[in-house]
Amino acid sequence: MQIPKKVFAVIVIGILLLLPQWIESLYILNLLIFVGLNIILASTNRLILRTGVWFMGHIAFYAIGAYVALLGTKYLGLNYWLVFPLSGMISGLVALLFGYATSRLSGIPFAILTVAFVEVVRLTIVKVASGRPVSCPAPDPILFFDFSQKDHYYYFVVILTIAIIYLLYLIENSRVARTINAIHENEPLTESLGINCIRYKIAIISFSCACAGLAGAVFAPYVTVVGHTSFNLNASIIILIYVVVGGIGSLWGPILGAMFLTILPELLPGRASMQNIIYAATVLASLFFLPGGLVSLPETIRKKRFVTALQLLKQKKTKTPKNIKK
Amino acid sequence: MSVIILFQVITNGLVNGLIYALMAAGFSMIYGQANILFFAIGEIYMLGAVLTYTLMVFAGLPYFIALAISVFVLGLFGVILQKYFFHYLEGENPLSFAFASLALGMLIVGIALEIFGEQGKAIEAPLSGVLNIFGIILPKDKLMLIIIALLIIFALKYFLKLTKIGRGIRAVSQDEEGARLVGVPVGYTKRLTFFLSLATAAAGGGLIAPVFYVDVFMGSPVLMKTLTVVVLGGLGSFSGAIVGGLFIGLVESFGYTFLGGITTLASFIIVMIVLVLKPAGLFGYE
Amino acid sequence: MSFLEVTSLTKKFGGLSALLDVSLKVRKGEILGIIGPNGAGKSTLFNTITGFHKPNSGKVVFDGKSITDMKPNRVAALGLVRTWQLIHVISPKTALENVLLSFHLQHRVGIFPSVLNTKTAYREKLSIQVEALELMEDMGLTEYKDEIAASLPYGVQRILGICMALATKPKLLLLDEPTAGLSGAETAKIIEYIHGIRKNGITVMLVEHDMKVIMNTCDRIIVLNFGTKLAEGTPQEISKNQTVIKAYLGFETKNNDDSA
Repeated sequence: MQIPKKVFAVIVIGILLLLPQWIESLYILNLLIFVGLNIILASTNRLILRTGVWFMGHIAFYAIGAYVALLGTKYLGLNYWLVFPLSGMISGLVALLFGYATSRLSGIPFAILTVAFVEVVRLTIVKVASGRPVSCPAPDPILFFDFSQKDHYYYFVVILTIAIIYLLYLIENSRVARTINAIHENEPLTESLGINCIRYKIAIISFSCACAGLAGAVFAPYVTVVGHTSFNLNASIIILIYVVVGGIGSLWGPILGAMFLTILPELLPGRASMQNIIYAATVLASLFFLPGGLVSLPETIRKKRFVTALQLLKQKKTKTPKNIKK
Repeated sequence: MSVIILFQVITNGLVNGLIYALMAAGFSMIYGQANILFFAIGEIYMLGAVLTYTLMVFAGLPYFIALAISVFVLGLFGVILQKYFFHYLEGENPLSFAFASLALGMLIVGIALEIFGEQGKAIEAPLSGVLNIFGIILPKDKLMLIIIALLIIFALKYFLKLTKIGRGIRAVSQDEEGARLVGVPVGYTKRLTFFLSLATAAAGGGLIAPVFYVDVFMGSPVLMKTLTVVVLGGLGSFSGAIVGGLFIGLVESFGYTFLGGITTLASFIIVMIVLVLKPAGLFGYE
Repeated sequence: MSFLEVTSLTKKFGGLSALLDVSLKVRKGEILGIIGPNGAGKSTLFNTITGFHKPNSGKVVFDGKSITDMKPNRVAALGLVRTWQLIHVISPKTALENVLLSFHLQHRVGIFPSVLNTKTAYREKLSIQVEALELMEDMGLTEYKDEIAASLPYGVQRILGICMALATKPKLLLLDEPTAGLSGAETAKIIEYIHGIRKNGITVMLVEHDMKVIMNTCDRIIVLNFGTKLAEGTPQEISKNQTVIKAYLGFETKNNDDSA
């Protein structure tokens, strides 16, 4: 059954916007807000990963966005709607600088530096806030929203998420995506065609981190109290898990991954240890049985290829010398 | 600065530095061997401590026996991991391995939390009291740690350099096919590497347990430090791991005593600078 | 004035001199061949000229501009483009997508309008698509346009690689062993294309092992061995040059026929 994409999109958006009318439960609204924020984080992280860059530091820019929003509204007294785009810009700028500073590195040392960066940001926050959580004021009223209710945050998140996903969708269908794929696949070849690969990668990183910053700027006033524990390495890894479990190959991957993994821990006992175990087990199951992620589920079911990994290892047990081609 | 304080700072620096060196050596061994970023190494460290504690408290075993058993058991765990986990992921891109290791680490913490709970626990040190040399007071437990850690490091270094099997490990790290062609038992060597690597990490945890404490969350900060050291010393380099570990350990110790809490931040920034200038690390190649 | 001038180019890897004090000039419109035994430094020469390696010393001047320390993408933008010996295409993409990618330098519309698909961007996208299809047709690739590049026959992949290089509208094209591993018929086709490329006003520099190709296309030949320039001259001169023959065969011959 083929529904034209535009119609489908409008229907989904419509449902999303009307949801608060039907759902009374604040708990569910809260969950959906986090799903939205996680979708933004996962989707933009995926964009970076698509260029072949091993970027494990996304949460750091979520943090930067959150704290810029906090500092701007609470300590500088600026209007939230001035601070909001500023959060994105500053996150993007920091990412730009980080990208340029580390542009000589690639692969594993770069990945480790992104991990280190998360810690650096977190420790800076600890230092500046003396280890204590800080409260963040609500956004200033705009249009018909005064952010006194959770509803309003929900609409904000929905609109922001849809806007960012739409941008990512446009990118995916433009020549930027083609270039990104090529850079990932064969960087020297792409470079020899006149494309400045390093600049492209840094631009993508900057854009994605700016979006993460915007998400952070929504997160801060929503949770009202922000502490450094939300922005540790574990959190950064969880974003990656959303992408990997959802499937890195398509735009839907991180969306599905974020949805699935934000909701799943809520359905099971709530101890922190359980969350760890669930995430870990999901990742491992996904790596072994569903390497394409949740997105590849329909295809895998159709082709009955669930036991790919096990078959793979049966093949590998008979080692064929590398020179012999079939 | 009095000599007493100087010695204490150096001792503390060596304690941490040697642990970092052990961890970094373990990490580098697996990386050099199989191009795997074994991010679960912090949790193996934690298990080394936890297992030692459990054996002492619930089986009544003396410290050294408990330590030895923990090290051995976790080494075996390494073999199982290699054979049934990483072997099957072979040929996948390295990011999958790193990721699988992260997931494994998370799983271990989760399970450990379930079994042991969140409380930190303390172990009786086998050697308590202090040594008094010329008025300089040095705690015996830390000295013992230093000595044992040094022994392990030297044993490893000479094993890798002088024994046939040890050289086999290095051969497989450099060129697996080539090593196979000259008759190195590659599968066995890989499993041995994992054994040694995890055993070393477990030793790190087991050694630090009586000096500090045991808790389920002790792995994560150690992982960060290990990565810092490895990247500073050069991925895959044994000497780099040792030198890097000692360097970071001593820098931190001096830093904490004289500069206060910015040391972790400072050491990260130092590493970032080193990497930007020499991407391969101090001892790395390429 | 020469189109491309390489002066005393040296490139060392550790202690090994892959290129040692190599100098050469390329005249506009000519086809220059680079030959030499394996390991002579031919690929290193290409890599260093086009910016993939930084030379230890020496200069490279292209079309009057110094490109010695330039990044490869800028060198390509100036019109000095190379093909690759081993992997010459983006494997998981279709042939057409590969060619469209190669038209990158021809885009005038910026990234933002392109992503937002404005009217101008859309029009440019269409016109480039037309150009790409025309180029592919000129090179006989139309039937493969929707095939995955990796699944194409090896010879076709090679031609696709050359097609991609041509999409960048080069002034000087460096071909890195374009006929390696190809059959006789495929090789003849490549020779045909090389002549066609020159007819279109593009200067060509060609690294090759196949002497037939060299003899059939090159105006001049430069011989490299152990990173240094051994000899330089017309195909006739080179085929009689004793030093060259010795380098290849290890001994000198008294008289030679046309099979060098």
